[in-house]
Amino acid sequence: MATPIIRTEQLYHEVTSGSERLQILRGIDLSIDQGTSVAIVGASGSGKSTLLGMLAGLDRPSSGTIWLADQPISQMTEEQRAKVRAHNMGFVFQNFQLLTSLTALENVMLPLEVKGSQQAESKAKEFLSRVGLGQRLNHYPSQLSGGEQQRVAIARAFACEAPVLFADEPTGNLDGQTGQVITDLLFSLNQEQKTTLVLVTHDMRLASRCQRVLTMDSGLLKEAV
Amino acid sequence: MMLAWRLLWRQRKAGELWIMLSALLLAVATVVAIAIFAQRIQSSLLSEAGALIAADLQVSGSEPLPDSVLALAERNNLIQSQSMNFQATLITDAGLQLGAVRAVDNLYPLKGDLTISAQPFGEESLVQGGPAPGELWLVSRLFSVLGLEPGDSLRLGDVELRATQAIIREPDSAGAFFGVNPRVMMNLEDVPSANIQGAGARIRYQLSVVGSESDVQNFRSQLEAQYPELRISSPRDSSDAIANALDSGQRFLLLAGSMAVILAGVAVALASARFGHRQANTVAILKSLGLGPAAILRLYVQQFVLMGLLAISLGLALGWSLHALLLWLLRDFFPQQIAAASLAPLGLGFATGWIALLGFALPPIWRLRQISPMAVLRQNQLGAKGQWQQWLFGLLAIIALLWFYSRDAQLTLYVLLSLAVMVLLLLLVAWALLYLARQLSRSSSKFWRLGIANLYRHRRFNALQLVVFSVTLMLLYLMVLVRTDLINSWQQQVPDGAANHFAFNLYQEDLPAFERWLDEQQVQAQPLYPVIRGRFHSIAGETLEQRTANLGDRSGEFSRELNLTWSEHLAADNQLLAGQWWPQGYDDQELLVSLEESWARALNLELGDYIEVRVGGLIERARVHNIRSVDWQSFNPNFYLIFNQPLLDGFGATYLTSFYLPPEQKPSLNELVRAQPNVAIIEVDAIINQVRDIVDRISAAIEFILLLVLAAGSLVLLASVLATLDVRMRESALLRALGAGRALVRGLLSIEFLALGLLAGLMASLGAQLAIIALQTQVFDLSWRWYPSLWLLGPMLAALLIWGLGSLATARVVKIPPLWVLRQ
Ligand SMILES: Nc1ncnc2c1ncn2[C@@H]1O[C@H](COP(=O)(O)OP(=O)(O)OP(=O)(O)O)[C@@H](O)[C@H]1O
Ligand SMILES: [Mg+2]
Repeated sequence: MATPIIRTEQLYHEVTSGSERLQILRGIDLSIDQGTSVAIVGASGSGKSTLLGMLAGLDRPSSGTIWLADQPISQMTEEQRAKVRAHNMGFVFQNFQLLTSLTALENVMLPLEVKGSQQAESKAKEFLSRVGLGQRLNHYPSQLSGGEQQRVAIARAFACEAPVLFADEPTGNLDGQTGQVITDLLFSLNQEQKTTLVLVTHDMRLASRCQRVLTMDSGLLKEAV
Repeated sequence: MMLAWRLLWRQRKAGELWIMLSALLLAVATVVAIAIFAQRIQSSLLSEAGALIAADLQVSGSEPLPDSVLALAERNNLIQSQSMNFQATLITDAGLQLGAVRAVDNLYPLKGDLTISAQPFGEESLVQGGPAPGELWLVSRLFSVLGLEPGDSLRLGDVELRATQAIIREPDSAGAFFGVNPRVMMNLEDVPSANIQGAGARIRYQLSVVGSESDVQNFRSQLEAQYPELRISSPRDSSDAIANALDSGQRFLLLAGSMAVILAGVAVALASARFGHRQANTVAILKSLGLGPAAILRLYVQQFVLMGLLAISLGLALGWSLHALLLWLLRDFFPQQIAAASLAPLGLGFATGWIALLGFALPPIWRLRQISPMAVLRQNQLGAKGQWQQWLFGLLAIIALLWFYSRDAQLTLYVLLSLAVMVLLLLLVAWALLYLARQLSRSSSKFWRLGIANLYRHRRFNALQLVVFSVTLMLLYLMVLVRTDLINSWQQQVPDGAANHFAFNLYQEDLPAFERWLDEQQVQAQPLYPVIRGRFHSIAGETLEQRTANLGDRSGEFSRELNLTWSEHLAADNQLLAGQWWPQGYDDQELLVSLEESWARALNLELGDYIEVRVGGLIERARVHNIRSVDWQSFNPNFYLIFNQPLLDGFGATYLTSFYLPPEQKPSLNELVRAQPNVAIIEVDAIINQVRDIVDRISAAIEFILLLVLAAGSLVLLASVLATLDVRMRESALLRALGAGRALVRGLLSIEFLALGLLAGLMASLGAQLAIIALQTQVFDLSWRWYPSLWLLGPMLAALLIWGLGSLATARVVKIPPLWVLRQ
C-alpha cells in the first residue's frame, strides 16, 4: 500500500519578527504513506513543531504545497482547513491542551460533536474506558494528573477515528514510567485503528518504535536509516 | 448553543464575566429606571391632550372679558364655560393657607374628566360640573392642613363655604403640579359675595369653548385680530409647552444616567478584553479540533448573547424597581395617580444593553477568530492583543448612546466634546499627581516606595481610576453639601428680625385696621407702599417691542403688568447709582421716575430719558431722574419703578408691606385675615421651607443617580484591577519566593489603593469646594467658605472605598503560593 496520505513539495516557511527574517523550513519534500508511523526528531528550535503544524493545516507555509489525501491543504482557506481537520485529524500535545472548563467526557465528546457525530457520548465513554478512565468521566482536567490528562487527550484523538494522528512530544511533560504507559497506549490504539501517526519527540525510545525516523536540522529534513 | 452555554457556565467563577454581567445590568437598570419614571410622568400629564385645558380653546385676560367676546363665541356656535382663577386665603380655626382658586360654572369641564372623592384620598368618582354654590372642593391634603372634615365650613374672602369634596384629578391641572399653591374649586356665583378683588389676587378671567374645528379656528382668528391683549391657548399650545419641559427634564436625567452607562461600558470593555485574552488558548484548541473561524465567532457570540440576555432581563427588572424609588423620592411633585408604564422605556433599556454589548464587549471577542491554531504547539501563549480599533467601537457606542438619549445631534456633540476635554485635562492632572507621588516616595521608607512604585507602574489604569472617581465623588460630595449645608446657610443668612411675611392687597380703607393690628402685635413693619398696576407704553420714544427686540426671552419681563409705586423717601436698602433722589413734597413737579439698575441697563435708559406707562386707560409720561440698586434678598418690598408722586392721584391703589412676625405669634394672622378678607399674606419662611424641600428632593434624586454612576465607576476599578491581575500574581509570587511575607504583599497593595483613593478624594474635594464656592457666590449671594469636614472626610471616604474594592479584587494575589512562580 504505497499511497501517500501526506505529501509536501518544496515547503518553505519564514517569519519576520521585528526587522529579522527567520527561515524555519527550508525546502521540505516529504511523503508519508497511509498507515505508517513516522517520528520527527531534532534539536530544539530546528522547526519540528512548525512542520507538524503545517502538515496538520494549522498554518500555511510561505511557499510550497502540502497534499492531504490529494487535497492541496496549503492552498485552502482557514475555514476549509478546519473542515479537513475535523474529519481527518487527531492531535495529542505535549501540554495536553484539554479545555479546562469541560469534564473529561465533554472534552472527548467535543471533536465528535464538531464532526456532527450522532453517538458522540457513547463513543467518548467507550474510548475513555479503553484508556482506563471509565470511572473519571465527570472529572475536570484540574482534578486529573498529567498522565491522566494525556490519556484523556489520547481518547479524544482516537475517538474521532481520524485517518491521521499528529502528536507533538506526547510524553514531554511526563515522567519516564508514565511516558511509557502513554506510549504503549498510543501505539496499541494506532495498530488497532490503522491510523497514520506523525509524532515529534526528543525521546529516542519513543522514536524508535516508529517505522520511520526523520531528523530535522535547521529547517531541513533527513531520513535516518 | 449547548456548547456555548456549557463553556459560559463553567467559567462562572471568572471575575471578568461577573463584572461584565453586573456592568451591563447596571447600565440597563439605570436607563430603564430613568426612562420609565420619565415616561410615566409624561404620559400622566399628557394623557389626554384635548383635556389639558378642559376645552378646545381658552381665552383669558386680567380684566373681565368684554361681552363682545362672549357674543363672538355665540356667533361662532361655540359652547361656552366661564371661570375665574385667582389666589385667595382660606381660613379655618386651625390655620390659613393661600390657595389657587378656580371658580367655575356648571358646564366645567367642557373636556376631560374631573374626579373627586367624598373623603380626602378616598374612593374616586367622576363628576360633570364644579361645586354647587356654597360649596368648596379642595385637594385632599388641604383637609389636614386646615384641620377640616368633609362638610366643615371655612372662610374664603367674605363668604363661608362648606368643604364638601376632595379634588382627586382635574383635567387641566397639568401645569399646576409645579405651582406652589394647592388647588381649590368653588362656584362662580359665590365670587361676588366673596368680594375678591385687587391686584394681589391676580384674577384671571377665562372663557373656555368647544365646537367644531372650523368654528373654533374662526373664533380664534377673529379674537386675535380684535383683542390682541387677550391670551389664547389651545390644547396643542399647552401640551407642547409641558411636553417640552418634560422632554428636556427626561433628557437631562438620561444624560446624567448615561455617565453610568458609559462607565459601565468601559468596565465591560476592560473585562471583555481580559476574557478574550484568557480565551486565546481555548480558541486555539477548538480550532485544532476542527472549528473554523466562523464557528468560533458563532460560539462566542452565542455566549455573549446568552450573557446579554441574562444581564438585560435582570437589568430590566432592577430598573423597574429603581424607578419606583425615584417616583417615591419625588412623590410630591406629581399627581397621585400615575399612568401605567408602557413598553417603550424597556425598549430603551434593551437597546442600551445591546449597544453596550456590541460596542464594548464584542470587539475583543471578534478578534478571537483570528487566533492561529498554531498556538497549541507553542509554550508561550499568543493572546489577542488589544488594538486601538477596539476603542473606536467603544467611542461609536458612546456616541450612539448619547444620541439615543438626547435625540439631539448638537447636544450629543457638546456633551461628547466637554467629556473629552474634561477627561483629557483630568488625565493630565492625574498623570502629574502620580508622577509627583512617585518622586516624593523616593525618599520615604521602602514600604511606601514599593507601594507607590506599583501605583505608578499601573498608571495607565490608575489615571483612569483617578478621573472616574474624582468626577463621580466630586458630584456626589457637591450634592451632599448643597443638601446639608448650602440651603441651611442660605436660610440662616436671613438676618434675625428680617421680614418673614408680606402683606398685600390692602386698600386705603383697610389701612387703619391693619396698622392697629401691627401695633397690637407689636410688630415693626416696613413702610406701606401704594401699588397700581400698569404697563410700559413707550420707552425713550420707542415702542416696547422696538426697545426690547434684542432681549429675546427676557422681553416678556417688560411687557407684563407692572407694580408701580411712588415714594417720598429712598428705601434704606436701596442705593443711588446715578442722579439724585427727589426733594420731599410732590406737588406741582414734573412726574419723575427712579429706575432699578438692571432694568435701566436692559432697556438702555439714561438719566433724562422719558418713559410712558399706561395706567387705568391713561398714559403717564415720566422722566428718569435717578438709577438705584436694590437688595432683593432683604425681604423688604422693592420695586423696579418708583415715581415721585401718585399715579392717577392714588385712586384705586392697594398697599403692600412686609414685616417680621415671631413664629409664636403666627395664629394672630388668622384674626387679621378674618377681619380683612382682602388682604393676602405670603409667609416667606413657609416658602423658604418649600424651596428647601424641593432642593432636598431633587438633590436626593440626583444623588441616587450619582450612586448608580459610582457603582459603575467601582466596576471600572474592579475590571482594571483584574486586567493587571496576572502581572500582580506573578510579582507577588516572586516577592514571596524571595522571602516576603503575606503581610508585606498585602501592605504593598493597600498602600497602592489607599494612595489612589486619597488622590481621587483630594481631587474630588477640591472640585466640590470650587463648585460650591461658585454656587455660594454666584447663585446664593453668600460669602464663600471652606468646608474642613469635606477636606477631611472626602479623601478618607474615597480612600476607604477604593482600598476596599481594590483589596477585594486582589484577594487572590495575596494568597498566591510562592510555588506558583515556578509553574509559570
Ligand atoms: N510565529 C513565529 N514567530 C517567530 N518565530 C517563530 C515563530 N514560529 C516559530 N518560530 C521560531 O522558529 C524556530 C522553530 O520553532 P519550532 O517550534 O518549530 O521548533 P521545535 O523544533 O519544535 O523546537 P522544540 O523542540 O523546542 O519544540 C524557533 O526558533 C522559534 O522561535
Ligand atoms: Mg516543538
